[in-house]
Amino acid sequence: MKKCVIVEDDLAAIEVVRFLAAQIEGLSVVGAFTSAQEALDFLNIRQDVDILFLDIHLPEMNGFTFLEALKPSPKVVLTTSDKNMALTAYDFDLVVDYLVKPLQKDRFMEAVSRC
Amino acid sequence: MNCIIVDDQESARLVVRQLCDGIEDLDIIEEFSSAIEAIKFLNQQTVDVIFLDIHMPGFTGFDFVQTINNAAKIVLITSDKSKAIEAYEYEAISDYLVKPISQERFNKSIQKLKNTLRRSPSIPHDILSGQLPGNDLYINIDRRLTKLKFDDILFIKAKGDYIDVKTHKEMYVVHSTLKKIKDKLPDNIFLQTHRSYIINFTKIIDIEDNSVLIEKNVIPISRSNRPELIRRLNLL
Repeated sequence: MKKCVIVEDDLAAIEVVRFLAAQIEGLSVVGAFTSAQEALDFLNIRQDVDILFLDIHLPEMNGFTFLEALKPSPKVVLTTSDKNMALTAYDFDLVVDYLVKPLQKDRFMEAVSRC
Repeated sequence: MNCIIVDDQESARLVVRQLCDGIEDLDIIEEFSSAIEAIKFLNQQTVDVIFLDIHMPGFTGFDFVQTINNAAKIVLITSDKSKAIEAYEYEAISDYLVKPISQERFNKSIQKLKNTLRRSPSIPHDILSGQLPGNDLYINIDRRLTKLKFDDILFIKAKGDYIDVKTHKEMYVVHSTLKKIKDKLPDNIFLQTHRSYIINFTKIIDIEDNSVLIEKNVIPISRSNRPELIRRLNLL
């Protein structure tokens, strides 16, 4: 069973990711956060998370600052409406995919298969 | 790791060559100014890494990625910052480097490649394989999961960190091991005849002392695997 965490500033976006994740056998959502700091605290204590679905534009810090502060190293799938950060994303080894909203089921499944 | 460089500009290839010079265990085995020539080469040979320009005459780097049937990881090298989002569509693309490239950023890209090649799953992830039906196998060719019916597979050959999966029409190069694929194959149809070969038993045309013929392919049989092969034959 792969464990994933969702970090999105918007509850509706969390629900979309949760819905898509629920359709993948063997993938379980163990945490969902609208607060980047709470997510960091959770992830830095619980180090068994395999996949992190992470929005880039979060109120407290952006997704890249978040990744710099993250101690464990789950695979990261960025989920964003901003198409202009993909080049920056390549600077982060943990990032395996970059999904542009609205999220598509096939593309989401492929991202998970890369993790 | 071995690599090739594909860029229509000599000066750009020189820069990549110089960056590669700083990496101890990275060998450039070929350079190509033509994407077509590189594709022909890749049809014959497996490489670990392709340093690839995006904009080439008549052929974009993305066309190239879609065309090659090779398990290589790809590092795009370009002056064009605008295609990074498109690059994420291709799992084979490991990194996207914008010129001018510092040695530090290049080294980071190489480290990423090493990590990826070490852990790269070639057979689909457990998450997906749990959903697969029992008469076929999905292999990961770049970003596509290609379905192969067991009955279409003629044989599998181990080749270093890769396996060749031969069907009647195609040869697929997959980053995996013989042991991993053996676990996915039904053993009533498939049989290991040699430490480097698994054959589809039903495709045998004839058998000599130490080889079997499958279509036009002569597959070796090792002494230790021969008794099991003979045991399975419906001998007259």
